[in-house]
Amino acid sequence: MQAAIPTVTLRTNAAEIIAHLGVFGAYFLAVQIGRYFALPQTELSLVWPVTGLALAVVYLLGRRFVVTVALAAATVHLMLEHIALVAVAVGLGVGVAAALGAWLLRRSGFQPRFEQVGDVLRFVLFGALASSAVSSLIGSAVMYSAGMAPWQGFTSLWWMCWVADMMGILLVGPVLTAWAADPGLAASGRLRLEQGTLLASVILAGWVVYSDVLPSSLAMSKPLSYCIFPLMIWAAVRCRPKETALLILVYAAIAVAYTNTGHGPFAGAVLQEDFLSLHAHLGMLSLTTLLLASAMAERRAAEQAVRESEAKYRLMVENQTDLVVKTDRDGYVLFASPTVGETFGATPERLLGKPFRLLVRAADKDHPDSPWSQLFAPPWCCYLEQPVQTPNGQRWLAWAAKAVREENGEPGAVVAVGRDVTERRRAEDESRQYLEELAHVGRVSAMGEMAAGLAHELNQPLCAITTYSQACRRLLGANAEPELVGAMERVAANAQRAGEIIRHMRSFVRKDDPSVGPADINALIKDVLELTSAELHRSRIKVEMRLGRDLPAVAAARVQVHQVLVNLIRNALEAMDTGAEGARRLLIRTTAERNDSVAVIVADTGPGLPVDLLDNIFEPFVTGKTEGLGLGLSISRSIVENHGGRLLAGNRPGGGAEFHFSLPVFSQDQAKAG
Amino acid sequence: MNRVKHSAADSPTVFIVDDEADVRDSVGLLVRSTGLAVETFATADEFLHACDRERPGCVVLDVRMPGLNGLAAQQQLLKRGITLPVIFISGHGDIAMAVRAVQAGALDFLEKPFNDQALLDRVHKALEIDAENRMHAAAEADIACRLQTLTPRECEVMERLIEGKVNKIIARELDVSTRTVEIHRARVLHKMGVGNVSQLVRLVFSTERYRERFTAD
Repeated sequence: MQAAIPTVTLRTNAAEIIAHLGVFGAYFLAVQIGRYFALPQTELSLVWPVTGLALAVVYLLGRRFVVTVALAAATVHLMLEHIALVAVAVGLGVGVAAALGAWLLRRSGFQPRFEQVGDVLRFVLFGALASSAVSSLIGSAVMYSAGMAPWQGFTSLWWMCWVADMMGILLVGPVLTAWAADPGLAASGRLRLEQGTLLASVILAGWVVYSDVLPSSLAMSKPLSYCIFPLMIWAAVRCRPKETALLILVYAAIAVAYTNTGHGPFAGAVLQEDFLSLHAHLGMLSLTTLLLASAMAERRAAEQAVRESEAKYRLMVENQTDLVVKTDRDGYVLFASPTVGETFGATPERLLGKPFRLLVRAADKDHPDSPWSQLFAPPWCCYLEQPVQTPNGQRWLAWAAKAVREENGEPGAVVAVGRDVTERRRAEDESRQYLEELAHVGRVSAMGEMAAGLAHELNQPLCAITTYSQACRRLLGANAEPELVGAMERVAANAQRAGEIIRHMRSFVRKDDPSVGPADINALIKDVLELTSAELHRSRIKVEMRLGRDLPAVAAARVQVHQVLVNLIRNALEAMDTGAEGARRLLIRTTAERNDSVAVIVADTGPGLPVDLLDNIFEPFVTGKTEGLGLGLSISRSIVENHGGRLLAGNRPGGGAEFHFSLPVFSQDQAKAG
Repeated sequence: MNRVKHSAADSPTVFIVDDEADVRDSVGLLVRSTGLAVETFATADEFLHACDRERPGCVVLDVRMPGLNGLAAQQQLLKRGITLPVIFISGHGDIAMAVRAVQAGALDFLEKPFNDQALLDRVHKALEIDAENRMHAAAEADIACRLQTLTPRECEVMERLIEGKVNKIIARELDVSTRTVEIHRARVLHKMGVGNVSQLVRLVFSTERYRERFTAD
């Protein structure tokens, strides 16, 4: 959650010019403030806020402001000292120091809001220490070379300059950068009130500590200066770093101002030393407070992130349609999503501590093969579908459960996600039922076809027996042995009775005559393709359909035509399975034939029908397959012919078998007859 | 009405066509037991090859046979102008097929195994029908034959006699004498083998060809 490095963008030329002039003006003002804290008889200032301003300006507004800052510095020094060389040198020094500090800050990934401890450290290290070291070195060197100070005390002078520059950066820099990055005030009125109170308290504390308002015995004691720490800790804990930095600056301004006029605990005989101890005090105060404030900001951000993350997951769990349950390793509910409560007609709270088994019977953990026991061994998850009783009747729920494993690898809890699959189950059931019905119809048709086939085969010898015996009886004539005549008659009668039995059997099986109604042949084909899609997919067969548009409705018994299509498609599939690898395509075409019928062509890319079987492929018990009764095509033809259509078979020129059947168009007469 | 002589072989034959040898043989035996002549064929093709429009009789035809089936064989017969009555037998009681067969002119449709009497009844009926058909055809042929013997003038006289015109009118129309008409008339009646005009009218009208010709005029 790192904010982008803020560069204050200036959209128009006018704004740019105003900004440059503003920087110029601010620089003049800062110099005046710095000069106010100058040591007597020297140009040496004890607090040099200019460095903080320069660094903040270059960091925030961009590198081109280095020139502005340098020009401002040069101008000021030219006005003050009237030495062009010094002015140029100072301008160069200020510019280089600010540019170096800003470059280091950007390179280090410093974020100006000071909301991480690292940002405070980066600012102190690269901004305060490095930049001020350069600026103070150049500043002091200039002063020496200009003859404003003796060479003997160069180290001490540099040190003084460094401290002054560093304090300028440390006190002014954070305020400028943090407020520029985030200029808004506290959101709530209460917070503003609190911050106002803090500000007043800090001002009061500064006044009390530094203005010598207290009796001298108390006022002069330096320990009093520590009374600012509780206030600053309060600020760091409750406020953002930018507000804390502002409070530090305010307090520091008061302290420095009073000390400079000889008041307060740090005011003594030697101003320089007083200031050094005051700087030490303020530096420590600033550093510790900023560190604490940034640490608090970091913690607040982390807490916020945790809250957001939790809210996100809570939102996900509470606003999904799936049921989410967490149980301990013994199956007692630790958490239940609102959907669980809705499904079972109870509030989620009431389900807590209840055994999960109440919701899912098959999750019975005592049973060794139960899905529940799969949770306690790799792959630590289970899946089950169960019907459950809910206030809305019986629903099918599909549960996917996973064990949450602890560090030692043992499952410590179980998270189960359930989904209502009632509709899917219902559709599956319907589809299965229909397949069963189709299979039943198929069996009935097969029986009928078998009976018809048997009847035909048996009728031949029976006919011969009957006729022979009848002929014999006639040939015996009137004078024959009566017993012989009687026996012959019995032979004939029994053979005829056998014929009757077969006839009855056949008519009994053929009795069911499903109702014929108008049907969309294309829809029937799609039904069957859906029913056989799994098999087709398994055999990697591509289905190509060229279904005629606006075909008239055909007169069909749905189940029976399905049966025909299933037979033809299965035949094609089996043929292609036995054939060589290659393009496996099932072609289904429908067209209108003349005005009164619709043709369906089912073709495949298999090996085609054996030529020796082509003439009688539709006879019962004739088959080209190693397995099978040879009734499928016979049944199909009977069905099609019962519908008043025709079923033909042939081989395609390019290879593969082709079946062609027609069904009559549904007419109003049939509607009446049906 | 005169008895006309049969032009073809006198004794009718029952043609039995069935792919099943024992069915064929037993039906043949049964039919023969009643004294009828029988010829059996294993396929429809064999039968179609052997049969001939001049031979009287009837056909007992199995419906389901390899090669040409019964219904197709029936179509072939009709196409070739063979009017033998057909009795279908089938081991496959199929109402739709039976209806089709009967619509195409089959005499009946028997389901195997059948009662001997039922089959024999059908066979006798078929033979009767065939005989009648043939007699009819023979009579027509006879009349056509006699008509051939008339001279053109006699034909003109006969046509007018059939139209019911008296001799005088005919004489005027043909521009001959009444006497001449009387002679022609006597010759026509003689040649056609009838005693008077009303018999002549009945005879001529009994033949399809003339009935059409006269009604068309």
